[in-house]
Amino acid sequence: MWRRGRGRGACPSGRRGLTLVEVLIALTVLAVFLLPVMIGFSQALIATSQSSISAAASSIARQMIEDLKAVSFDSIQSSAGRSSVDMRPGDLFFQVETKVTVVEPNDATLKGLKLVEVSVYLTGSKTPMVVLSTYFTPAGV
Amino acid sequence: MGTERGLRIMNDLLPKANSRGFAFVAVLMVMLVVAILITGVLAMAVSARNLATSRHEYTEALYVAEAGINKVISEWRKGGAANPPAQPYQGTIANAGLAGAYRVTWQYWEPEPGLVRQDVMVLTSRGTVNTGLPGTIYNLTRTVQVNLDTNGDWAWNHVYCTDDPDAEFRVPPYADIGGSSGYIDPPSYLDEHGPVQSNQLPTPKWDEWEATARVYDTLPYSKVSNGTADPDRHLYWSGQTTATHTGADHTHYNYFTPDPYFPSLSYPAAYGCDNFTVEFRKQAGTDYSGVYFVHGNVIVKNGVTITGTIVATGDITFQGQGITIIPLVNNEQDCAARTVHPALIAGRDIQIRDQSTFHTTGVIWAGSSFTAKAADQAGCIVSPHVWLTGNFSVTYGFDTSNPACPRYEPGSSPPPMFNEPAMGQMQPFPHTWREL
Repeated sequence: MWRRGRGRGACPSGRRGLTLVEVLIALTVLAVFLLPVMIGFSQALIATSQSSISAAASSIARQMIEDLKAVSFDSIQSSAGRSSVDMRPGDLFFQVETKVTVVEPNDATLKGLKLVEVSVYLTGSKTPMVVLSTYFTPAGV
Repeated sequence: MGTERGLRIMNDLLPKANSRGFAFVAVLMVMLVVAILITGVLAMAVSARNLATSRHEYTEALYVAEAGINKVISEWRKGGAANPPAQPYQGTIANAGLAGAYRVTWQYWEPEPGLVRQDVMVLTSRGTVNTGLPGTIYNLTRTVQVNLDTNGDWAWNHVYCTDDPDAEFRVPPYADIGGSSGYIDPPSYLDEHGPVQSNQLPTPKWDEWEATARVYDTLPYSKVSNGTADPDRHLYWSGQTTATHTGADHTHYNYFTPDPYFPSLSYPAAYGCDNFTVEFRKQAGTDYSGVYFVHGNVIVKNGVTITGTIVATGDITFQGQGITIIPLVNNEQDCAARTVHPALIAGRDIQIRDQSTFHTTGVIWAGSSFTAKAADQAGCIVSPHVWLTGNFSVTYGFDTSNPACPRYEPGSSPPPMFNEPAMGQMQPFPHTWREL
């Protein structure tokens, strides 16, 4: 059906054109190479986005611990479940949960020691994106 | 010339009539360009991920190090200031299931070579985390260093006040220390806001940190009622050289203010207890020590031993045998850091009653009078009126070994007064007296 040859008017300059087979092969080769490239692009975009989210979550966790430093030792206690964090007005992308475990009781000698764990979740996620832990104790010995 | 050469090169590159496979070459070239671009993008993405992870590890390591500091302080409290935990103190704390490790060491603060401050510890904590994620630093470590003043914060250890702080002091006294057993027994009193029995002092409680009243003044002038003229000890007895008073009769010494009954008595040429600063600090360690503030009167009975200071706005009366007050002393080589706590401060009278024995090496200050009627001993006495009717000796037991420290010179200001805890901090207590 398709004929190869020097058709009249097909190549007025006398040069032979690209056949459909050549073009198909070229496109196939291009597709074979472009597929992983596009996957790579996608992965790169996802990774970049996740890095940005992770950095924001880490900042939120750090901010929460610093906030706890500013309150009295007795006021440091576990949060009632997760609470949303407003990154921007109306943006409820992250949720934060604070878990406080009393390691040493509050008394005159020990004055207490609390293990504080701050977990930052993506809204709707079950696993925390970032967890920061540290001990808190009142000042002085 | 150059133009002609460039045209020839372009002509050579252009497909000729017999050139084949040009499309393949073009595809290869496009792919090469795209590959270069995607490699760059991937490299940036990986870099961003590694950076975010490293920054988080960096943050984790900081809080792990801080956790080590707080854990050591907590352990320190368990054993008391004199029994710190063994160093290096090491432990772990979990972060998202991954253990961060801290390692804490400490040493005395040395502000300058050869000058060691034994009351200030320098704690160094190294926090290490290792998430194992690709591209992160293996065992990333951060270090936190803090100075820890082992004398603690400024505060009263125990604060007691009358039910009606505005009322005049009541009789009998509100704080009654001791009894037949003598020592204050901390485990017996577990009520957070006061003792189970109203005649004994409770243990210090954590909420006493809220009572921040303090005294921080150089004693403007001090007075010694008895003692030798020992320049090292800086104790003087006006007109006498004996170290022990043995007068059997009622004797009245007036050192500070003209006395209407003995106007002829002259002031001592020199007097003083030593170079000291009155300081009250919260003391760590045993529960039956510290600085006691009583808004009212105090009675101390048999066998009581208190490591610290009693401060009363009213009277302090000793009724019993073997009573000992051991004031807190800080014999720092650094003159500015040297502190000597007084043993007793009373807004009105201090009395050591008949058959009582009392011993202290500290400074006694009584706003109105000091009266001793039995064999007693004190470091030095500062009071407008000193009445001694029995054997009485003064032994100022504080180390004054650093001659570089300036000696105390009495001033003309009135005796120091202490700052009472703010009334707003006083909470109701349904017993005879209450603790803040």
